This record gives sequence, structure tokens and C-alpha cells, in this order.
Amino acid sequence: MKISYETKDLVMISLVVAIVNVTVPYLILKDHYVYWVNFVFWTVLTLLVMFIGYMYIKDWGECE
Amino acid sequence: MSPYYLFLGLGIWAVFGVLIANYAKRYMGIGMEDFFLANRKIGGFISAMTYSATTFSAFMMIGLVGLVYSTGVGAFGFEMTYLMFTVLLLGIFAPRFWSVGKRYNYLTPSEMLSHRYEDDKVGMVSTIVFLIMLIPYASIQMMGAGFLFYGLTGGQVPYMVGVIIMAVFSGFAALWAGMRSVSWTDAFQAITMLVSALILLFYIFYYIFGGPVNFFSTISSQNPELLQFTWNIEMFIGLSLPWAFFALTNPQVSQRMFVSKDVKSLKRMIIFFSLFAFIYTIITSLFGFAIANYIPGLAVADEAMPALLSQVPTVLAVVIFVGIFAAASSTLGSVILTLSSMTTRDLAQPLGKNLSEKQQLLIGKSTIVLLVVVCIIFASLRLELIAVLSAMASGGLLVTAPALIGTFFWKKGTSQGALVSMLVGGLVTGSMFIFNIYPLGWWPSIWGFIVTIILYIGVSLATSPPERAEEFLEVVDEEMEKNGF
Repeated sequence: MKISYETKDLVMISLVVAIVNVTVPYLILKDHYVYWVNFVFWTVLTLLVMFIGYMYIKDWGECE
Repeated sequence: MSPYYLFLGLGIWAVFGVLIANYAKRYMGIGMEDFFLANRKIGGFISAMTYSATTFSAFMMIGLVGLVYSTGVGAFGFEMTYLMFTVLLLGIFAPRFWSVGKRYNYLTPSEMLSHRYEDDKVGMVSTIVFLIMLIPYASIQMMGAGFLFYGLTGGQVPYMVGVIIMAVFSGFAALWAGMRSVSWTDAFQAITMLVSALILLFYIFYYIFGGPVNFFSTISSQNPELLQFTWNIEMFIGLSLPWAFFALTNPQVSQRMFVSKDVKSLKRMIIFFSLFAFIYTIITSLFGFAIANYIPGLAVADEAMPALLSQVPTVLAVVIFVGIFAAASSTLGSVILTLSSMTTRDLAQPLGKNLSEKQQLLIGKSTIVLLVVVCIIFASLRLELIAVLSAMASGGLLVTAPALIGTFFWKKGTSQGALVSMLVGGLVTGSMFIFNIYPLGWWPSIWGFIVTIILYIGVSLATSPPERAEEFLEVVDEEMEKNGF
């Protein structure tokens, strides 16, 4: 069984996202509400993950 | 609201749904693979829309709106957590499911488990777990329709009429041409969900708040408490963790990783679904903030959306009602179709041995009818337990995650490890949910997940892996490379 570097990267990114998704809201943003900061945080983080996902899958099937 | 308008709106919409299902039937071939997976010939856009409509139930427009209404931005974070991990899980697992599905002609995720672990009991037990968790979840979609009809018409339409209408429409979509009619009507329903939500957002922005800028500034100044993250960590992780694994553990969506016709379609499924989910989640969350400001003080959070519908023009209320109905019926139809495919392939087939393709198809179609009837009976009882079991569904399904992950990434994973982890993990999670046990404040799904992981690894290490494990993982690599992943 080979696990490609790309899959390993995605697993690592998942772990980082899991940590950031909990630590940032609880340690930094919990008492802030101005300018929709929590709302913006999750929106931006999700957009970032979607972009990473897109970059990861965009070349699928190219060597078919 | 007069029932006449609801029936008229729903009737017009349903005619289109029936025509689409009927059109899908023209392309229908023969056999199990054609009925339950549309012969693995679904294009990228339809794959994405059926994935979206199946994933997003009436929970979004009723439950999530209510959760934002009562608890603020934490509910948005929870839902976005689901989306982020779904994108990541699809990136990791979709090419693997799709490749081995094509190679071995798997019809269901349970069939894949049985084959990889070289033991039919693994598929049987996982199917039983899926049935126990998803029948209440399917019933709650019918119950939602019943309550919505009853509530919006001030009791003029009896609860059971709403339940039956939902059952008939979803059952028809599943039975008429299997995955083809379900996925095509799902696409129609997904578009209905998004368009109706966008229309309501436009109305809220411009007719209630006087523009988007005013909307955001009004909420900031008048409802700052909703913009503050107030969820305790046990609740955030307790709700988010099972949903983070939803794409892997819910068979009605994981089965959709088998249906794309080629790699490009699979890729498009992930991209279009991500965009749909991102837009739909933001819109439905904004509804929660808007209603909290516009109609404050509701005692029951789930009544937020119905309360708004009672205050908007009738035509708009009917459009939104149809959008919510579409969300529920698309989820229900897909769940029923998936459960019937697993009941046939992973329970009846191993028990009956040598069932012909025709016999399997007959069992599959009969199971669709049976499941619809069972869900109607559950919905008619209106038991509190059904709501509890439905809420437990994603937490309960989490017990299948270690065995599914081990399928592709751990050759030492054994059938005994998979069986014990699912059985004991399921019992632990289920009992803790039913008896309301939250040790140290942490949710049952967290404890159940920990128990499941320990048992899967521990029992697997104490037993011998099946001979096929190594070969299976080699095939995964081979197929992935061949297909250009």
C-alpha cells in the first residue's frame, strides 16, 4: 500500500483545520462580536479549505 | 394560510417532479446496478445536485435556522465545520470509493466492507447499524412535512395528510426508476431549495431590513449577543464531530461516490457540491439572525421559520414551503433507496445465497415499499423517542468510521475488529443517548467514538487480518493510478 504525498498532505491539513477550527474561536474570538468576526472567521476558513480542495482535485484524471 | 394555496403550489411543483422521474425512466436498463446506481453513469452536475439534496434535509431551513435563532453564530460554525471536513473527506475517499466500486462492482458501502474484510457479517452488521440509525432520521422528514402542513394551515390540513403526501412523493421517486429518478428529481429539488432560499433572502434584505448593509448593521447593533460565540466546547465538538465524518459514515451520501460516470464527473460533483453547500449554509444561517431580530421571543426555536412564513406574502410563503418540502423529500427518497439496496445486497443476498438478479431486484423494490410504510407508522406514532433517535443518527453512524477508514488505510484491520467496534460502539452510543448520559459533560457520540476506535484497533491487533486485505490495498493503489488520481 502506498499513500501518496498528496493524500498525506490532505490528512495533515485536516488535522490543522480541526485544531484551528476549535482553538481560534475558543482562545481568540470567544468574547468578540464586532464586525461579525466569528462569522467571517468560519466563512474565510471554509473558503480556504474549499480552495485547497480544488487545488488538490483539479488534476484528477489528467493522465487518463 | 389557506390550504388551497399550499396544495396548488405543491401540486404544480410535483407535476414537474413526476415528469422528470418519468423521463428518467426512459433511460432505465435492467439489473441491480442500473436500478440502484444508475449503471454508474451519472454526470457531474446531477451527481453534485443529488449529493447536495440528499445531504441537506429540512434540518437546514427549520433546525439550523432555529439553532442560529436561539444560540447565534456557533450554529453557523458547526455547519461550516461539516462542510470543511466533507470537502477534505471527499478529496481523500471519493477516488478510492469510486475506483474500487468500479473494479469490484460494489453496489453499497456495506458490500465493500464485506469484501475487504472477507466476512459477510461485517456488511450485515453495518447494514443493521445503518437501518437503526436512518429509519428514525427518514421518519423525521415525514413528521416535519406533517407538522409544516398542519402549522401553516392553522390545523386545516391534518398532520397525517402531510406525512402521507411526503411518503408518496419520495417513495414514487425511489421506486419509479431507482437511482436515476432519485438523482434527477434530486437535482430539480436542489435547484428548488436554492432558488427559494435566494428569493427569501432577497425579500429579507430589501423588504424587511432595507438592504444588505442595513441588515448587517442592524444585527450588529441590536443583536450583538448572536454574533458572540457562546457554545460550550462540549456541545460544539459533540455536535460537530459526527457531522465532520458525515460524508463517510452516512451511506446515502457515501453510496454517491460510486455513481459518477467518469473521473471528471466525480471532480465536478465535489466542486459543485462545495459551492452549493457554501451558499446554502450562509443563506440559511442568515435567516436565523434575521428572524431573531424581526420576530424575537419565540419559545420554541424550531418555530422561527414557520413564524416568518406566517408574516410574508402568501406567494413567497408557498415558494419557501415548497423549498422545505423538496429538501425533506429528496433526503427521504435517497435514504430509502440506499437502505433498500443494502437490505437486498447485504442482508437478503448473504442469507438467501444464490438469489438471481431478478429476485434481488424484486426484494429491493419491495423493501422500498416496506421502508416507506415503516416510516409512515413511525411518523404516525409521533414518539419523542423518534426525535431522540433521529438526533442520534449522525453520532450513532460514527461507529462505522474506524472500519471504513481501516478499509483503505490499515491492512491489519480485521473483520472481528470491525464487528466488535461497530456492535459495542453502537450499543454504548445508543444507550448513552437514550438514557441521557453525558460523562464529564461530553456527548455520547464522543465516548462512543473513543470506544469504537480502541476496540477496532485492539481487537484487530489481537486477530489475524484477512488474506484479501493486502491484495485489496494493492488494487486500490493500482486503480487510483490507472484512473489518474
